[in-house]
Amino acid sequence: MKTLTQTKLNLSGSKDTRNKGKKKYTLITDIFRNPFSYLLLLPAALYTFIYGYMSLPWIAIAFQKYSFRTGIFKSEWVGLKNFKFFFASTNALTVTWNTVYLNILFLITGTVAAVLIAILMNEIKSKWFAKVTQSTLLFPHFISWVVVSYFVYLFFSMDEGFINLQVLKTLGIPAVNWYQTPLAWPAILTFIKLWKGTGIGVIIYLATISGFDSEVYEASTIDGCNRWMQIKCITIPMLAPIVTMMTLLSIGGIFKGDFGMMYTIIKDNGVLLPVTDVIDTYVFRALRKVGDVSNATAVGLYQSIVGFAFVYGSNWIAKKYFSEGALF
Amino acid sequence: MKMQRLFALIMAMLIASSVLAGCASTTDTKTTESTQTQTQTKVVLEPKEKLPVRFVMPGDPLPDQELVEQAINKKMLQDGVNLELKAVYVPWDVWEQKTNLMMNTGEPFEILQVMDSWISAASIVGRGGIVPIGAAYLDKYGPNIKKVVPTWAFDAGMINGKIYTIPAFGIEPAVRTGFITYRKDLFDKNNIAIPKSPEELSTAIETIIKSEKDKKYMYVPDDGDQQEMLHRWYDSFPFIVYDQLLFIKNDGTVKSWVETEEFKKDAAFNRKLYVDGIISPDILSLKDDIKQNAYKNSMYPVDVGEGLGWWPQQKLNTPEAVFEDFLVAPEKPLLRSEAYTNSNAISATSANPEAGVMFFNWVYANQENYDLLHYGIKDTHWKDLGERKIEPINPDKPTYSYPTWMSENVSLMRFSKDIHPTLELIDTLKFPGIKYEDTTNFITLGFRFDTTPVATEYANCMSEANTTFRPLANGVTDYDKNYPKALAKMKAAGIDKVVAEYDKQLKAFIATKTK
Amino acid sequence: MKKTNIFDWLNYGFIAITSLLCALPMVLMVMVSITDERTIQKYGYDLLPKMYSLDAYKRIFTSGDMIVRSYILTVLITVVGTFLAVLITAMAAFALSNKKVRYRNGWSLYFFFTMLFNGGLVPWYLINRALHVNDSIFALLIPNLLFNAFNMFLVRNYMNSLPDELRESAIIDGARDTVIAFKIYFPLSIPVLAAVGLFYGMGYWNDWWNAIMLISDRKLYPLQYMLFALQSNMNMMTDLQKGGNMVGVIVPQESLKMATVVVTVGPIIMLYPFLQRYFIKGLIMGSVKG
Repeated sequence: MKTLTQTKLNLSGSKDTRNKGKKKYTLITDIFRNPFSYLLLLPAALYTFIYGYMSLPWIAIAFQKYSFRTGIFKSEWVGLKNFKFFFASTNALTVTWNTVYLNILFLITGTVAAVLIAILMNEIKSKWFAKVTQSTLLFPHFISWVVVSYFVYLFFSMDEGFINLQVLKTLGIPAVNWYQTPLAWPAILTFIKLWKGTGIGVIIYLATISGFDSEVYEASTIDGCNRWMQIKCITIPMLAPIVTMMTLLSIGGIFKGDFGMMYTIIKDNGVLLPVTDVIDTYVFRALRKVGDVSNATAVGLYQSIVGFAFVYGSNWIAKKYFSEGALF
Repeated sequence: MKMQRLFALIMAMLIASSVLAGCASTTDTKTTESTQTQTQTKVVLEPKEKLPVRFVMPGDPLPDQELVEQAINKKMLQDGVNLELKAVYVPWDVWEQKTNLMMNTGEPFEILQVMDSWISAASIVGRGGIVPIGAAYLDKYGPNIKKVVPTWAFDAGMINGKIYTIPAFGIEPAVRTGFITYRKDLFDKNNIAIPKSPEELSTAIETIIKSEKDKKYMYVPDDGDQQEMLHRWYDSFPFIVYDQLLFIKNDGTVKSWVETEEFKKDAAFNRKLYVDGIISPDILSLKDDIKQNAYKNSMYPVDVGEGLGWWPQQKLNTPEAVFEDFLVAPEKPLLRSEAYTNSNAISATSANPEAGVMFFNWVYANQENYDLLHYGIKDTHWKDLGERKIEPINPDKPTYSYPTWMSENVSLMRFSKDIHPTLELIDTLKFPGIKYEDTTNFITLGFRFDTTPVATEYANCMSEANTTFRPLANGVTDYDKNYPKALAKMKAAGIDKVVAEYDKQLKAFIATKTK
Repeated sequence: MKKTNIFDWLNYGFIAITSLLCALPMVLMVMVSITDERTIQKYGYDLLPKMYSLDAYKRIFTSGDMIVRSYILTVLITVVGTFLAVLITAMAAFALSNKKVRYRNGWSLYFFFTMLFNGGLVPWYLINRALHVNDSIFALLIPNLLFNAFNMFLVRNYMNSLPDELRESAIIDGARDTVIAFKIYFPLSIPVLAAVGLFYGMGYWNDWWNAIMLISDRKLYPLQYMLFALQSNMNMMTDLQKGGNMVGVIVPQESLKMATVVVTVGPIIMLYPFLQRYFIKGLIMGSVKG
């Protein structure tokens, strides 16, 4: 508590000197003008401070040769040496590219699918049908990646897989050796990600749609709008701010690979890795035996910094052209 | 916009500094606290107070854990050993994270189970997690340990010239590799004799799998064990392969593994089987469950390593299967390339480091103590069948289950009544036709490769070994076509530096040993 | 409303297929969970297994009163935790959507920053220890789960989209921010709060991490941890003791894996239809305005 107010005090103080009295409105003024809003903000701010900001000093181990005995205060500082292992590797570019490329793929398809399904579901009038289908969309969310990877194997295995044995055979197409066809995997992974993650997105968008003013819809019906025009002219524009914000939030994680997913499904399959190896799996594989915390933290920091820069940039653009969707 | 950036920056800085200050003080108090307790315990404990033995081991406690723990503590009291055992279970899934955390945050405990094949003792020492035990300590607190664990095993585990670990000295390490398990009934049915060369083995595998097409027998090559089975046949034997990166001969020659003829031969062996449709096309992403189910149902013509270990399950699922073992190239001596794989070490966070040593001294003091820890209470959890055989009571109910491999000992261990007779022969060194007296200690026995000087290169080479070379080794991709490119990648990752460093360290090690 | 037309038929068909795709694996899991273990070992997963067995469920529910106990504990934690989490989130979201708070963007950045940057496990553990939450019921309630910036942003955006006149007219009436929040904004935000509540609820329900890391007292183990332990004990019985100590029994390893998922997913899936009545278009808005 004390530290928090102190922080704010100091903050406003230093700000004043920087702005040379141009603006007298400081954080303190803000708090005094809106005491009750700040009261409401307090629990969340405190929680974030304790669990978020107080942990930050430990990022220092990314620049240290860390040892249990010496801790973060007395471990030897080694500068950027811990970053070297990743950036000096010939694969740094490939895995970074894979991470970003796959994440963008997931992001775009995921958003489109979730918005589409939410809109379509919104058009469903049968209540029990809506209830049942919405519930089932959530099922995959609960299945762990390990189990998912098993299902994936049941589908794509060469000799006994569902696709080869049932689908392709019926169509008269020769069996495909999926686990050795790198080109197919970005699509397969995208599909799996869609299958597992869309349910959550649909719920978010459905909740948003249900908050829309029904009078607008009624008015448009009177004006002779059909349902397609309603979707196009009312629903989609009104969903735009939340879609933009969700996208911005996802951009922050664009340099972080989904380790649980990639590692369980692909494992160490060297044939597929040129297109599916992401930063997180690469680092895990490289450090598996060595177990160096400093190296791992360094790579994590790199991912966060670049991600943050991207969010900051996109947020700036969003703010300029579409302020309702901006994050901050 | 500017205001915001400033806001964020200053905020972050201020917070970081205030937190640093805050944390500094907390850690300070923490350390003083622990030193305080240290002095306290040291002073108070001398006369009567029991020393705690917090034993950190992987897994989850079973219902009877407490019962056995009480029994152990009671027995220790009777024996006049001033210790109080408390097992601290850490679930497998978070073993690495949580033990790291405990060592990192100074959580006091005495014994840490070290699984060298996963996280090496050397790397834990490097991070300051465990403390040296030392010969003096062992003499003073662990005379019984020295009785059941040979000195050479302690020496083999030395790190930087110091003893850190108490080895789980189970089955003679020399018989852990070199044996191949085979389905005798299928070999006989197809009139196949015990293979005498890689070619014969390859033919045997192919003949059997092709003759029983509808049965879907599997041959699953994998890194490590599965390759080793061929190595005894090669002329250059004895040699070992370290981490799929280095090839070391008994004369001290160090080479890059993937550049050797032996690697090429391994790859060719698997390539033929792969092209002929024997190795599953999904081999690189094959699920462990599928492999395991194949084992449980005896669906394999040959296997190394765990082969006979599955017997109790196989007997139930496929009573018709007959398994036997043979030693590859029996004329060559057995090789001891490592002393043990698991051991127990003393945590740096312990205030009474001697307690851990004293505990194992008690465990290895006699059969009764050993049994109590490893198998539970006699006649409650297990029945003595004589001749070192035991039968668990209520085998299908989890009651008490201590992972025996954590601290097993060759002179005290017992066997399940369901053990395969051949496995028993191997484990007790009674397998016929082997010249046990010729067993050689490999040159690297007791040598620890410190990867720190080449950490970057090593990490990258490990990654290449797993990604680029694994398909080659498993026969999935053609050697001649893909090798040049793969090699170029391995070179770029810095394999030559790794080889040079290993060579340098090994030479230094040999020099000190011969001195 | 109009009659059902081609679009509706296509729509129903599409949604039906989509949800079928999501449901099928679940059906398979249920079937595997009631398959005899030896049949799984021999023939793999099957929608219509050759032999059925309820062994896995027997294992789960006869492993002492611990399972029942942890079930009750988990329900309790989930209810209390979700309530508190939604409250904290909604309150913060309201403050950040208040256009009178000029530093709201700075605060948004303050929250977002921690979504990307974090010191990791060690400080997390030390902080929990300093707060004395470990080895108490608070360890299941507070760390990680109590507040999530992502959810807060969702709610904030929703509140941003509410018309400003709502607040202005209330201010003219002399209402405080707290009153506006609880009396006007929160009721109007029920759809998004329901969604966010569902996310928090799933978080609490599925959590085993906090228990593994912070709790050593078996009495405080939540459901997920109990099932997790049960499973790993089964694995231990078959795998770890291979060597010379394996025993000739078949334990329901694979069916248990699936049964645990079925046991945990069940209740939370049942919950969803109840939340759903808050997702009905325009209902709330109309009622307040009218």
